[in-house]
Amino acid sequence: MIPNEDILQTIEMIRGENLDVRAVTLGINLMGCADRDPNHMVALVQRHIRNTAKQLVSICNEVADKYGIPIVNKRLAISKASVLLEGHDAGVCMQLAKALDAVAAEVDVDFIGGYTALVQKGFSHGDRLLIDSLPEVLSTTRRVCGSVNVASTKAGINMDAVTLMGRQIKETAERSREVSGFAAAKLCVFANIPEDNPFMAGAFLGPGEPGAVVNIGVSGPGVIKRALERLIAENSEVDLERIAEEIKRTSFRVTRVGELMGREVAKRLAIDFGVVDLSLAPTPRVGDSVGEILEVMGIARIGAPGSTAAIALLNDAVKKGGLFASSSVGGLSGAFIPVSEDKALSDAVGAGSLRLEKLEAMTSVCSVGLDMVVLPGDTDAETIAAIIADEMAIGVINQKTTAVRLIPAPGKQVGDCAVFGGLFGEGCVIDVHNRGFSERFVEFGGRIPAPLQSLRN
Amino acid sequence: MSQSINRYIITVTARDRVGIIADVSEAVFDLGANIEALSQTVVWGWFTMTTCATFPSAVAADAICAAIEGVGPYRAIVEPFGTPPEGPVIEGEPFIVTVIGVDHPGIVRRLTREFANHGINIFDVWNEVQEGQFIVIFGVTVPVGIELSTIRHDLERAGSDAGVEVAIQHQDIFTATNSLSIYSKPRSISQ
Repeated sequence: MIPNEDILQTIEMIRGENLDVRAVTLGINLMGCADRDPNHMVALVQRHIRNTAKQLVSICNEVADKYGIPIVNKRLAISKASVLLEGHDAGVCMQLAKALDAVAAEVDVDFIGGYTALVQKGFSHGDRLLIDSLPEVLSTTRRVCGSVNVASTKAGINMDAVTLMGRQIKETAERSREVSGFAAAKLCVFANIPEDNPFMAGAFLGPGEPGAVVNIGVSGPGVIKRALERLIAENSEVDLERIAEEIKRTSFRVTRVGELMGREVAKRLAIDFGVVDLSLAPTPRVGDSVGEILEVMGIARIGAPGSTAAIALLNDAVKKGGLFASSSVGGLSGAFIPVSEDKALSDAVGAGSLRLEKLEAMTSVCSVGLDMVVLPGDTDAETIAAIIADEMAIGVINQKTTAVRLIPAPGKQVGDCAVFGGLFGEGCVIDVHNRGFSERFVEFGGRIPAPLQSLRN
Repeated sequence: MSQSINRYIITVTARDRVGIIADVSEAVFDLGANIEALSQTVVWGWFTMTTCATFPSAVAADAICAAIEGVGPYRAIVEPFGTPPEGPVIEGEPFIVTVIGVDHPGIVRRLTREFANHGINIFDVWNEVQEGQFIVIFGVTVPVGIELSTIRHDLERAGSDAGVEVAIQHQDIFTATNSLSIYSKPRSISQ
């Protein structure tokens, strides 16, 4: 029998600290559905998704019931959709996107990721069609999520793609003006995009992955926050090494939940188990926030000096604990700081203590980038592209994944907030300094070469 | 004479203090016993131990009881072990049922009756009162073929009747989050 104190601690993690499995994401390879006849291609896509995913939600619910731990989101991640668009004309994009949206609704998942193009070294015909279609696709479908990889450590940064994505993000937000630009929240721009990421909006099934695979995203900011609060309250002499140790232990527990439940979902679906993504994914609920962890660690105002060091400690300790808990770790695996989805971070932006530059610095030591950041609606596309370029440079130089999910909320200014609802939360508009001074740089276009891998200072 | 005939199951209760197991094991050792299995628990200062031991065939149950009660303020019950059970009594999966609420008469009665009605065997139970909250943790075996949703529904109703929160979860979730192993070891019936 397991010690009773341990049972009660686990119960408390579930009842009072928001422990859950954040996402079960079923990856499905659709390469075999490519066809020159668009109607046939779309029919094949729908049939294959339906056949592979029809039991996903019911099995997730059964497994959640067995272990008494909620699985919050059930999602699909398809192989990059740009392949399906090769050889077609622009009209097929919406046909495919609507078909994906419909079949996702049919199998009852909340999102389907993989409306994706990988263009770090250049564009294919399908890539170009897909990127051009993003504003219409994301503003007229409900469940489809898009992502574009514009940079990698091996290829450098495709600045033509960066400039283009600045315009597409702006246009996507504009087309969903009535919901504060929410469609842009379904679009990620990446450097070093992972092939097995279960989290939206950037989930897609990479080319090195199996035909179908179950990837798991765990959560647990609330659990870590409470563990640290208890540690500090019960011990008069706590140092940062002890705090790191406590985070490691808690991350071990959280990861084990994902490992156990993910493997069971995969087994019941008779599909390969892929990875547990160790990311700490916050929600807008109070007590389920990465920002609140920083506050417990003594950063009284998020964004103050020390914020970067604190999140570096957190991010590293989460990985160390998780890696011992599971041998199948992948995806993004770091502490997320999605501003609108984390109430403490959003409040810090609203109060002016967390600024874009500090947020960018923090993303150099944690996952995953400038995520769910609401910009003033009149931010120009070139400035957005330059923000993307900066974030991509952090990823490319540091051999890590970085991403941006920016929402230039139409009509909103600093001091306003954009309400997205649900897990997307509410984001206060962040100030963008020095707007309009980057145009010449991004308009040069071309490629920023791949970085040197030695002399790393 | 077969070995099972002189194997006894012995239960000893006493106010908890240092040296009870030493006294009891010494008393039975003097009668030629070999202790094969031993377990103890303490509830609010009251000690209970149960042991299985073999004795030379000439030693009777009354003599064992007298020997134990003679070395200290102990109450002993000695029974012949009988024929050992063959194989697992119930095939099923291990679950943990946690019950949390305000203490009042009838909580254990209501829930354990629900277990019995479903053929659910309790393999371990623990309880305490923490900060006014009555907490019981049952380790149970849920027989193969019973729908978990049905059990959960009935337990939650029983919990509601008794004014307590009830949760049932597979034991592996506690093993995975609290030990180096991810899965619980299969339970075996010790003989």
